[in-house]
Amino acid sequence: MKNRARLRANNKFIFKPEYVTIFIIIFILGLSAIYKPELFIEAVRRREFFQSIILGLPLIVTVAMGMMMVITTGCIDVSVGSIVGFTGMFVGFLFKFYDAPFWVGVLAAIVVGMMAGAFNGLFISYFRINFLVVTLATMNIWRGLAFVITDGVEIGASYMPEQMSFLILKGPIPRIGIPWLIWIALFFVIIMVFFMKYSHFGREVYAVGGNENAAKLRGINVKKVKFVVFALTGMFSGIAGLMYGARFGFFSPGDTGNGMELIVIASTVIGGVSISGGRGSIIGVVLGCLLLGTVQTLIPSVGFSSFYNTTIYGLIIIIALIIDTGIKIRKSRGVLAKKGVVGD
Amino acid sequence: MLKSSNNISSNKAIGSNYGFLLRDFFSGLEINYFILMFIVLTILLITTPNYRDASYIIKAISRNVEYGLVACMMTIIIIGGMIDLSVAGVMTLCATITGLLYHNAGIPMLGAIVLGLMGGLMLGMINGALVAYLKIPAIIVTIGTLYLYRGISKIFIGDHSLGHFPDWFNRVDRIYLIKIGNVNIPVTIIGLLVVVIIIFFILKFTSIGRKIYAIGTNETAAKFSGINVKCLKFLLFSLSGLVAGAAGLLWMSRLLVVRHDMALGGELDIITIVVLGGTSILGGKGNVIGTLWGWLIVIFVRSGLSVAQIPIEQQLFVMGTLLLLALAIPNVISILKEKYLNIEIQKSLKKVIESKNKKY
Repeated sequence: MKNRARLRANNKFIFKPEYVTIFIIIFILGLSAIYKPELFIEAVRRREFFQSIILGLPLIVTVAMGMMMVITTGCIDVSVGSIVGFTGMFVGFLFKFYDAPFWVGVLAAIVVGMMAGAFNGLFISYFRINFLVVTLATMNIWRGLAFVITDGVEIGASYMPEQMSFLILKGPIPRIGIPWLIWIALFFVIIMVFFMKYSHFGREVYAVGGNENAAKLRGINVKKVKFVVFALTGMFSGIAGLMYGARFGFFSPGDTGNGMELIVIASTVIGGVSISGGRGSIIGVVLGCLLLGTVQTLIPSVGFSSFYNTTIYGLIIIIALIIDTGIKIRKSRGVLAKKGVVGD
Repeated sequence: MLKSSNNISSNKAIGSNYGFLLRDFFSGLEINYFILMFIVLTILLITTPNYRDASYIIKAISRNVEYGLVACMMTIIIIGGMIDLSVAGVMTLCATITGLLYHNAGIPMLGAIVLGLMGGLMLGMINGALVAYLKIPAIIVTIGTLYLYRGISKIFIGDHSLGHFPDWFNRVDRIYLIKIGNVNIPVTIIGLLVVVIIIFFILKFTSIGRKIYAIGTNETAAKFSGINVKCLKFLLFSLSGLVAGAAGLLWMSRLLVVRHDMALGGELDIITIVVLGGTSILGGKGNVIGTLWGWLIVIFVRSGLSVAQIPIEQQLFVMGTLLLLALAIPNVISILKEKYLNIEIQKSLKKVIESKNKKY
């Protein structure tokens, strides 16, 4: 009996999907080191390698915080990339044509993003339309509107207030030199860890994803939970839209957030969030983002063209899904075994 | 007593007993969409004088035959309660395989076409195996494979485009069989109509067709009534891959080249077409004839916006709104109806209870 308990505790640590990601990162680094040793060593020696991994993260992590909640409730939001693009263009539009100060931009990004997310939530939970079709439609609506705002013209860094460049250049502690963007993303991560684990709403999100009917019978307002989750995802995407401008120094209707939904879904799924809902953790998602960031930076530095990116993301999603179902099958077998050894 | 009856009537599961009333109301759904198509066409003809040209309309239709073909297959899959988002990726990769085999491997065009179609079947089988046998939700599998397939064709041809195919292969849509008045009708449109009629009969009168409806309505019930759900799902996804491959080849023949961004975002258009034809995205309801009307609506809106000189990126907004409205309006009506029905049921229950109380 004791042995069994210890074994189960060990299993719990090793087979927690979150931690597997770390091994996968090490495995990928090792694989590329074996594949092209000279190029790999040359890349790792340079400081820019780790810098570009870390600087690529905050955008993905911020959006993934929302996506994690959405996937935990059992839905998918493919419109996040377009919301990033739309809010980015809207904020840029305010900066360019109304000379808006920085705080107005921040406020606009949060409000517009939240409105866009709430629009999704309205159609999904109150008009009872399938989440995929709604977000597929809004993906095109926001992308189209991003083109409408400025008639397809990009907005450059010269129109932005100077605080935008501080976000990428300076940090709160000058000696360490970690830029503001990363601190902001870290702030979201810490808040979300406690929010999902200890807040009433966070537990409701897990309950809805685990079994929607049971949650409904338990007295949870499922519609409201889904609505709020989509609105929050929109808010995170909106903030990421503003961060895009700080990170890359321009807003473009076509490029801002284009294809981001794929990266975010991939990092969420690989971070151990179950696609059928009810299981997943913020730390796992952050590790998933780290894995994708590493792959993204590693591919060109080991000598592949960036054409491989899309393929590798798609492949990662599918492999993560297969692992996910493997875990599910294992778990269901474990339950059966438990039932068999009741007398033990 | 009254309180419990209130609880029951507010429960959705009990409300669905009265679903046959709703079904009666919506039985003419395809006709609704036919009327919608007619309205769209009439508005276009009245407002834009440049649109009053039958040969232009036929040309616009023949430009969208590929999407129509894939949408017919998608209708079947959505009726079966699944979804295949990877079709645009399969179209691209099949065309890429065919082009590469013809150019780089020196295989004659006919062989390359056959191999390309086999490739499409294989890609569909990968989807089908993941969905049917590993039981992963079709949505996320096909999102993954969408990017995977498009990415592979990106690796194969990069930023280039493949062209210079033999003359007999190029421009299938310029082969005219029938002439009505001054208008030549291309062979592709007639082919699509034949496919629609065949699928209509398969869905309506064969046992496989009825099984697909059964799976879409209630998968567990279908399994218990002896339908091999896994096998049928696998078959449907493989066929979807094959059809998408054929559509990719048609696209290649029409445009004379293959590029990696061919049919980019086509999955949205295809799902819009299916949904605008009255097929329920939850499965179990729908008809391929409706898809035909949805296809024509999308074509008319798209080409009308182009004639009105609205850029292609801004058309995305219109298409998305169209899709949302097409879904939201019937849903809002049914939600309102359900509420109204519930009130009616409550009223009748109250009457029954009151009459019983009077008796005692």
